[in-house]
Amino acid sequence: MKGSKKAKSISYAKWGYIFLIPFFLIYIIFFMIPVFSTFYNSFFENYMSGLTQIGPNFVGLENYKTILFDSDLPKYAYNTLLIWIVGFIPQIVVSMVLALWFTNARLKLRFTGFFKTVIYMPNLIMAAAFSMLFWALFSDIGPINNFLVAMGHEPISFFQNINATRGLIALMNFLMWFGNTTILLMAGVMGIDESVLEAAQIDGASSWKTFWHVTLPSIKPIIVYVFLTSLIGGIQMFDVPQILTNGSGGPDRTSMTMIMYLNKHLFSKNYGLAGALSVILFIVTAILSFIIYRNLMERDSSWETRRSKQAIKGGGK
Amino acid sequence: MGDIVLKDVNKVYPGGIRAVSDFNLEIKDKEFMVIVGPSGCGKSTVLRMIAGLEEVTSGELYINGELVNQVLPKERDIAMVFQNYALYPHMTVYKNLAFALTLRKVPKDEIDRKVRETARILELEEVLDRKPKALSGGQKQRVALGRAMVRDPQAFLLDEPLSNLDAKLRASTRTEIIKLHNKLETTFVYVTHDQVEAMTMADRIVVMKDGYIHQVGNPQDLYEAPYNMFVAGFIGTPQMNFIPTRLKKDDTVYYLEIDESKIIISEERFSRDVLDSYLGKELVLGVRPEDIVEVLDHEERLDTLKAQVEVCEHMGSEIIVYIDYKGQNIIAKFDSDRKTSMKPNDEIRITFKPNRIHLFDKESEISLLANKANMEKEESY
Repeated sequence: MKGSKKAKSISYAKWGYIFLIPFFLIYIIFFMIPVFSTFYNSFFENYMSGLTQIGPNFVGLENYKTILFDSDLPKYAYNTLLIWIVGFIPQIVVSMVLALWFTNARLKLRFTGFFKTVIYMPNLIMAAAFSMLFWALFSDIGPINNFLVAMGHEPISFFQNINATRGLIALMNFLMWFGNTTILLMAGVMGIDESVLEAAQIDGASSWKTFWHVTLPSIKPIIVYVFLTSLIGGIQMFDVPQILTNGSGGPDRTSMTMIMYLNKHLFSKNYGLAGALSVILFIVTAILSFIIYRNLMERDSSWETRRSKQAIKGGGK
Repeated sequence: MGDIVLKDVNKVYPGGIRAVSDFNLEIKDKEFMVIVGPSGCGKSTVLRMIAGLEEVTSGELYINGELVNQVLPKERDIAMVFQNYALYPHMTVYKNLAFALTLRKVPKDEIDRKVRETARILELEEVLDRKPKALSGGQKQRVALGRAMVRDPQAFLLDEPLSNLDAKLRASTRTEIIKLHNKLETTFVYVTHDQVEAMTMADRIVVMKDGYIHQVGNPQDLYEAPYNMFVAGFIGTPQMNFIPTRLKKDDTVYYLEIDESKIIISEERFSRDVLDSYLGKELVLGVRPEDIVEVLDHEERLDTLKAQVEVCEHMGSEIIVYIDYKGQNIIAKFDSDRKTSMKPNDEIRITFKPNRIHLFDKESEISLLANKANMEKEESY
């Protein structure tokens, strides 16, 4: 009797930990160890000079000094941010307009489900495949140039032109991400109390003023979130320009991004410099992530205070 | 100045759902009009059509003599108080109050003067810098009212503004709104499902059900002379009792037969013609709880119903008694100073104040009193 009872009691905590083991194993092997070894490596001189292996010798912050003050990093940072901004501005504008259209019941739009799926689609395609597609389309002998020639236009060497290459990368980022942003903004707009928008109408606000004074401030946290996550994604921009320019970073490295530069160091087995660059990007990203976290938490906590205040007032009266 | 006229207004939602049918109403300037009805009766839709938030499917809507079917809400010069207050969550109370004026490009010092004046009236001066989330329910309510007040609109539209408040606050805010109406001298259109609010606040009440108006009148009229069984049951708490009966005539005396009992009808209350036309037919007797009388003498009388007390609720000034009469529930309201005490399962004999009873046609549910007065009105149904 006693024995059978004992057999039936299960230690759920124990099994919980057992089920967590695979995750932690993978996390430690593929995330924790690389992160720490990156930090570790960033303090060492460790590269090949011709056939001679130099290092690893401990050099302190020497690698950081080199990366920050004695490399082309500022140029690549400028490339990265420029391409990101050129892609982000149309992304947020188009997404905002689409989000407002899709959420406006008065427009009586049909097939919104279909359109939502379609605009999200590019996000599902692998960036590499998407880049190959664009490379094929816009190459010197690609269909776009064929079309231009057929129209009696001079062919354009897109990948020899700084603005065209940067523009194409930005365009692809825009195409891949505006669907995602639209969905996020839609969620934000749908979260606004319908009667608040109606109150604005009755108070005398035009559609534009309602948007500017009510809708936009209400979804500010989501816009901040979209902005910062996109910025983090932008900083890590790699696959699209890498494949589109075949790793060269476009005409005269004007479309080379920071991560492509990092990749170059890794490729030449310069682990010290690559490590230092990774750590710098890690710190920048961490700061941005922290801002997002604060932004989201602030929203939550204000909601909490409202609830607790209501409870207090309700109890008091 | 701010009269509102609805002429043959219909509202049909996509999918053919009829929300409002053949709605005809004239709301006079400075009137406090309450639209009351159970949920889903279309009362909010009427209000939203007046506000311009819903399109009028057919019919005409006039505000201040002007056809406004196609006029945008912002040009109608009406203010609305929403059920959930609909305050702008990211603005302080001050900005919430000032928003409408800012949009109209009113000079800053005038906005300030008006906002502070409104805040003073509504006792919101201390919370002007707070955001809505830091306000209590009652304060939010007052901000919502204030937002409407600063504008000096043609009409105030209020959509169940008290339903989110607790009972005590509701009663005090109710009085506040009445005072406000007297002070502002503006047309108020007030929607509620609570007949107590309707009775206490309204100059006139519109009773709606299933998209139709059932009766329009001042509170006393609705109480004394409900047009049909729905209005009779909806207005007044506890509800009016409905007892199936049959109309008979003994020589010259009309009486109602309920089982073995015979309730004599006063001919002053019902016209002879109407009674004659219903002779021998089934009717529904309507009696308000306060019009039930307990018969205390022990003689056998024909004009009483013998019933059993089920529950007594002592309200202080009165006792509400739930009576079981042959499986049918009857609610009676007695003064609490009556001599004998009443207990559950007590046998009780009751009768009705003869000049307070209502009779309804069993089929159409229309009052026989209304038949006398409103023959033409019935045809319009």
